[in-house]
Amino acid sequence: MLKINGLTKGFGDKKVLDSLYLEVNEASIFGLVGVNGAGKSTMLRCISGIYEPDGGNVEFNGTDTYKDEAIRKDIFFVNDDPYYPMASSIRTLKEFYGSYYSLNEKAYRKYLDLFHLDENKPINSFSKGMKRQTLLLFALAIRPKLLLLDEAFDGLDPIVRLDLKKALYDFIQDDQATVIISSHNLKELEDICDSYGILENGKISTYGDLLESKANINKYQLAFNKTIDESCFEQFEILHQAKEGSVYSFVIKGDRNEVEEKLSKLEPLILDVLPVNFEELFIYEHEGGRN
Amino acid sequence: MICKSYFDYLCKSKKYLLIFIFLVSLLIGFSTRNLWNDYLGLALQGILSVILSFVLPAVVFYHVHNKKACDMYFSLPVSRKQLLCTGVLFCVTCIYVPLSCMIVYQGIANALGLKILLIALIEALIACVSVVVFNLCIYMSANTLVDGIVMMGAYSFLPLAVYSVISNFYYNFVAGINYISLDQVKYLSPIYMSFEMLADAVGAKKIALLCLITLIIYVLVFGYLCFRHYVLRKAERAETKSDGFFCYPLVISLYLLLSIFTISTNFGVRSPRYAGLSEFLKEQFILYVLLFAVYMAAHFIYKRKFYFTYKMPVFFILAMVLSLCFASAGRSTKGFGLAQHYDMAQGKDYCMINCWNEAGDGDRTYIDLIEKETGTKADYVSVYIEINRWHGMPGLEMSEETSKIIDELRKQGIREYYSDEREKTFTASMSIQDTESGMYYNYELMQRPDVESIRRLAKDPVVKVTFATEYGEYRMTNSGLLKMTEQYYMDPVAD
Repeated sequence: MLKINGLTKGFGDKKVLDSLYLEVNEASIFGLVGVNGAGKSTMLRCISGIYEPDGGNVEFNGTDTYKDEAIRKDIFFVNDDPYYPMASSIRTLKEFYGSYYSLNEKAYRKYLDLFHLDENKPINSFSKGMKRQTLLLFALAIRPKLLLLDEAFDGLDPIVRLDLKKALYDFIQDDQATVIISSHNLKELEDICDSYGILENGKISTYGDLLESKANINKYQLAFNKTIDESCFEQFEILHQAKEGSVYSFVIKGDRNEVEEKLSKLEPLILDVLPVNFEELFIYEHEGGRN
Repeated sequence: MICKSYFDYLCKSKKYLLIFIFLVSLLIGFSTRNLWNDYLGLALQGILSVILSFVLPAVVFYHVHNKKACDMYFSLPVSRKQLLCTGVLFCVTCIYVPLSCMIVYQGIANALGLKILLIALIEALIACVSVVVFNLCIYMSANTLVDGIVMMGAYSFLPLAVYSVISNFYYNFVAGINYISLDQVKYLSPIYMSFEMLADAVGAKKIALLCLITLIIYVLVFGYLCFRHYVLRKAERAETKSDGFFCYPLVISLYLLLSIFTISTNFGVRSPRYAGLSEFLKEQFILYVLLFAVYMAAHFIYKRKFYFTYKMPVFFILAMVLSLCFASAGRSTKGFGLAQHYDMAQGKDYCMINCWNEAGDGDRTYIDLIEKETGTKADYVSVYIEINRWHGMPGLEMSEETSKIIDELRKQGIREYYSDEREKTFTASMSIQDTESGMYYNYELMQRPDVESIRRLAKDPVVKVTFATEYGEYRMTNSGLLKMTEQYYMDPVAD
């Protein structure tokens, strides 16, 4: 289990992570979302032991990931812009990673074929997407207990994205591993994540089970044939609202049945309830947080 | 401490560099096979080692200056201590193995003996480690590759810059000292010390103990600093401004101070054309302006943008005022009295007095001397009196009288240096070399030593006299000289 205890990290005067607490269970895919500059990459680098926390710590299975390098054998970090040593090929990288991690040869061959990569070609001649696939190949072949993916779907074509999602499913299922994915592509995250966290102002402002959270936030459309006192909506936790003529649109946080029952008491002409997707969830949560 | 996997990876990934080092070393050994006695091969291998001591740390530890590479290396399940030690071991091995092969190769050819060979090999190892950790520490004090290279260059040239300022000060302010030996600043440079130590080991077959101890101190101090710069390094420093104290802030300030002192010390006793400070500033103004421009350019390189704060001109002006105060003090105190700090009674190892010939009656004695001896009428004649006194050689102790004459001449030289007469052409000079400290004193004499002094000097058995004409040099024996001086000085030839 990954446990982040009061993690604080700043660069100069800027505090990027501020007493951040989070727990991620094993055998789960955690989607880390946040606006640009929220500190997602910083958080992943702190988890992987690259950055030294200014305060707090990160523990994976009870071991500090910065202080104890041995635990990093179980952690693999795929950053948003991978580095490859000059003139290296997949074969040379295999030697490199193979000497530090226990590399699964079968998985290596499988994903090498799946991604259609030439292991002898210099990586510098690869496209951006191929370079990314190369590191993903090693991530899946090393089969770490904690896989950290920063902007995992960037630069990948739709077919590879699909392959990657399937590979991650299999990986979780077979190895009971934990995956943390940060991405701006929330539609992709929605397909694979079972839990999520929104990073805002250096803290995880919202987190939880994705399905539960989605069920807890809904879009309500109401139309009235009479003038209505808008103060009656104050009883709801409204994340977003709009009005067009006599039609009201609300995004309300709360139990769907309870909200629906309360809204029905206002005797609307029409009452429609629509589910929100992950992207909307993020936008409305973020808006709500800002308001 | 060492990570074998990482060492293997380094060997494999840097195989082309290793092949290059091997081939160049082989070429050096092959091309100098007939020049064994000169240790040319070892000298060339030393130069290659110096180049590698800059290149290898930059290549092996490139990842500290690259954000993406930091992600890769610092997330590995290997401790930073292991990465550091393995990296240093790789650098030292790449330099030491070919160097030690060359030492053994030339040592055998020169029949050095096992003991000396072993000493040379141990000293070479300490030299390699010290130079690598020194360069690596400086490289890692920066935050980008370019800054790392700039810092290595800046710190490597620092001893020369310090030397240049000290030398300039002595030249301008202190009578008798025109230049100082590089030995004075050698302890600032592990490269210089390493060369000297190895040269002493294979050439003079002795241990340069002070150099050896200093290099061991370098290994300990810079090894610890490498630990701080790498193991305790914040990964986020990569690709940011190199604003650590020992980086640009110190380097720019140091070089500014050294440069400004070099310019200001020209306002010294040696430059009588500057009657006063205002006259000096008027002439040197352009140099100060140029230096300020360079100072601004250095800040541009440091900040990667045009940068100006009031602190910059304030610091520059303060440095200028400070250096000018120093120069004025040096001028008014006649070099802070440093010219007097010389005790002839201690005895120096080598002294030479040159008397140049001039047209005129005053030179007749010398001309007559040379004509009589060589049968040649010379257009010009110089008389050199060499006084050699080698420590521990029985029967060759310089007499008290000789010592007294030399001391008198030295005092005359100091007097004339600080007098208003110093612009006149000098007609004689006296140089004294202390082979122990390496110091070299040179006094220009406006008034030549009188004939009586020369005669008294020539009586000393440690004195040798050489007459130089355009047809060649004629060195006279002591007895020959004595005979001549007796004959001609006691009974000078009439015109």
